[in-house]
Order: sequence, then structure tokens, then C-alpha cells
Amino acid sequence: MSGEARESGKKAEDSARKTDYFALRTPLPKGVSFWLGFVAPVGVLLAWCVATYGGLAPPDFLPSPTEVVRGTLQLFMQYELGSAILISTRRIALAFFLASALALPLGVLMGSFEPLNRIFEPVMAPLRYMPISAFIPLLILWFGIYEKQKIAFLFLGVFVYLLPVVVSAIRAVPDELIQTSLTLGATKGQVVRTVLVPAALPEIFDSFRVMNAISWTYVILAEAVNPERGLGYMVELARTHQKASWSFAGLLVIGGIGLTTDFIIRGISQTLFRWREAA
Amino acid sequence: MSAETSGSRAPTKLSIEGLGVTYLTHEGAATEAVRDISLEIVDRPGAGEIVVFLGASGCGKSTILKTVAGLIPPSKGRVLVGGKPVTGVGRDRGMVFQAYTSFGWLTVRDNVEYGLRLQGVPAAVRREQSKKYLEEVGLSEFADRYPKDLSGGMKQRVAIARTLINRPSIVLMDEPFGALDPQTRWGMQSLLLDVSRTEDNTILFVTHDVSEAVYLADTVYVLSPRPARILHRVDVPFFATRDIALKSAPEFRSVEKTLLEMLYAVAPK
Repeated sequence: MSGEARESGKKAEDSARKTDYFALRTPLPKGVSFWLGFVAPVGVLLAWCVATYGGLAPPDFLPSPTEVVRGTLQLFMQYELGSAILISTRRIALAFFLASALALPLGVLMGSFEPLNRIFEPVMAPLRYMPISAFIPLLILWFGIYEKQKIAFLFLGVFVYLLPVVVSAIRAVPDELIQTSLTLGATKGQVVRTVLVPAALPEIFDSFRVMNAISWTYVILAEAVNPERGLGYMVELARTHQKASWSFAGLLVIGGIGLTTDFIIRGISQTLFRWREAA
Repeated sequence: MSAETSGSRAPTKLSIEGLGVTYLTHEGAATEAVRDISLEIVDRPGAGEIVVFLGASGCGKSTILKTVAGLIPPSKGRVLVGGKPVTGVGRDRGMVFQAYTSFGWLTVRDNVEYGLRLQGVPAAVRREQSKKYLEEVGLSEFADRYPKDLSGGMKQRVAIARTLINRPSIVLMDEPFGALDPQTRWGMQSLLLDVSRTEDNTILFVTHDVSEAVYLADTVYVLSPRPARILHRVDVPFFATRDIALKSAPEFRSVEKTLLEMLYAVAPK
């Protein structure tokens, strides 16, 4: 066999090996992975264009992309969508902060000390199964229909989710780490502060991504009560005006915000927890 | 009490008197892990020594270490360190585990300094001490790295340096090289021998590897399968002349053979 033939035979072999994109749990080459990411979005966009510009769907049933862009601009210019986004973001941030301020210390203590877990767990467990939206009427009774009610609702939604995450993250820390710390002279409090909390933090922070997603859903529910400002008000506006293009605009904007904040949280996590072992 | 009766003899470093440990499993059944262990280790001032517990996996030898560490209370008998009964964990008894226990969020240096930081030792002193111990285990170049960048053997070096910096009188090692490949393990064994010559502490070392036991030990206690009892005590003759070549020497092989036969005699057939 000539050198050239061997070379091309080797190439064929290589490419034969590479083309099994459906090998079990095997990452794709970068380029392929990048382009595959466009298949579904472009497909949806195409179908949407065909259905609307092709006249297959009536405009008040399914608005065209042009209509949605116009609706989005209308909301930004005439209805202050920009400040609505800021207001909702502020509400979520405040609720997030309050929920973390309570769930983090409580969860760390529950995860570390079994008696505390036994005391609080019977109250927390059923709470997780209660539909959070069913709390709205109660929260209106207790907190009124203005800012406090909205924050309280978001707080509840985040807290109920965050607390068990903190408890289980603390419990997942290997016994050997605790025993090592103890034999190096740590007091119980020092073990909690210098081992349990730092070891559990990455997992807790990861859950912030899920809670971020939950928050953007809940904020619409919270703001549907006495809608005055915020994104929930925009959604409500679309309903009362019966404008499908505004509904779509709201969905796109919220989706976009969700993706952006998720990206930010992931970035922060990667910077903070650089030390983490590759999974 | 033992200090009074011992009179002019060297002080007893560790004595275990009639130790028995019985666990309650999650189903509530009692499992006996350790039965009637008694031994005494006399301090040899100025020289470290290595005492090995040799026995089959799961025989309860780790339980003995954890009782000495104060992590598990004895069900029967007692453990005395320097004449005082052990009532809980203490920094005079450091422990190294088989699982890698490097604190991932701390650099290698901060891992090593961990015990000193707990005591509030000033940064300058910590730095000086960690420098010494990092050198001793050959990790000076890696001081600023995080454990994720280290191999298994290097992680165990971190654990050893982190334990030694506390200057414990007893170092408890629970199959510390069990997860390492053979070449790395030999290197770590030599490192441990070097360390035990420079540091004045007693190392209690648990293993099921006969060759490792002979290579490291001044004294080997051969343990029975669960519940662990002491079957034999073997004093290994060649202290201070150990290197890799010894492993193939006939006198080394003969001690190995003796220990293997002792283990084989009690192995479940």
C-alpha cells in the first residue's frame, strides 16, 4: 500500500469514527453542536412565518412576527415596558434577598443538627405540596393588595423551594470531611462555618438558577393582583385589550430576561466556585 | 493511674484496655465490630514509630482508629492517651482517611494551615510552618493550587502535611494509600517512613496489604475477621534500614510469609 493510500485510508477510518454523533452520552464536535442549536428555533420561526404571512392563521389568533415586534415597541414606548421590567426585577431581587436571609441560616442549622430538622421538617414538608398560588387570597388578607403582598408571595415561593435545597446540600457533605475537621481541632461551630457551609455553597448557588426561573413565573401571578405596574400589568393589559401581539411581546420579553439572568447567575457561579472539581 | 504504676518505665503513649465496640445498625440490630482489644504503646522519645493493624477489609480495624480518635465511643473498656482517658476528639490525635479529604475550596497552603487557623495562630507563623511541612511532603510548588489540580497521591500528601502541622502525638491513618496505584503507593510509603523519622509521633496505620504492613511497621498487630480481635503481635526487625530494595530481600519476604499465614489461618474458607 502506498503512503498516500494509507493516509487516505486512515482519514476514512477517522471520519468513520467521528460520524457516530449518536454514540451514547458523547459530546458533539463544537461546530456541529453550535449549528444544531439553531435547528429548532429556526424551524419554529419558519413555521410561524409560513402560518402568518401565508395567511394560514387569522392575525388576532396568531399575530405575525412583524406584529409582535410592533407590539413590543408599542409596549416600550407607550406603556413603559422598560420601567415595568425594572419594577418586577426589583420585587424579585428583594424577595430573593429576604428568602435567602431566612432559608440559608435555618437550612444550615437544620442540615447540621438533627433535632432542629425534626422540629421544623413536619411544618415544611406539607408546605412544599401546597399550590403556592392558593396562598394569594390569604396573602391579600394579611398584606393587602399592594407591594407587601407581592413581595410576600415571591418570598414564600422562593423560601419553600430554597430551604430543602440548603438542608440536603449540607447533608451531602461527606462524613470524612467533618471527621477530618474535628480531628484537626475544630469545634462544632467551626466545622459548620469552615467545612459544611463552604462545601455546600456551590450546590445551593446552583439552585438559584432554578429559583430564578420560578421567580419570573411567580412574579406574573403576584402582579396579576391589582395590576398597576410591573410585567404582570403588561400581561394583564394584553388580556383586557385582547391583543395577541402584546401577549407574545410579554412572553418574549420575560423569556429573554430569564435567559439573561440565568447567564449572569451561571457566570457568577463559575467565578466564585473556580475551585470545584470537574463533574 | 497507669502513670503511677509505671514508675521509672518510659511513659505509656497509648493504652487500650479491653476495648469493645458494638454498633446499632439502622434496623436496630447490634453488630459487634471490635472485641476485647488490649495493647500498650510505650513512647520512644525522639523517634517516631509506626504500629500497623493488619486485617481483612471490613474486619473492624478502622473502628479501633476511630475510637482512639474519639469519633466513636467505646462500648466496653477504654482508651488512654498519655494516661488520660479519651472522651472525645482532640488535636493531639490527627487522622488521615482513605477517601480524599482535601478541602476543595482552600488552596493547598490553606489546607495545610487549616488546623493552625482554627487555633488563631498568626498568619506569619502559619506561613512559616506550612512552608516547612509542604517541603517535607514535596508540595512546595503546588502551594497556591487548588486540590482539583492534584493527583490522588498529592491529595494524600496534603492530608498528611495538614495533620502533621498540628504536631499530634498520635497520627491515625485509615488505609491512606488504599486508593492509589502501586507506584504512587510505594512513593507514599517511603515518604511516610521519612516523615516518621523526622517527626516524633506514633503512627497507627491500618491496612489489609501485607507487604505495606511489613515495609512500614515497627510492630504489626494481626487482627481477626469481624469482630476484630488481636491474634498476633509481630515485631518487625529492620527499623531504620528500609528502602525499596528491602521489599525483595529474603528476610523481608519471610516476615511477609509469616503474616500471610496468620491471616490465611483465620480467613473464611
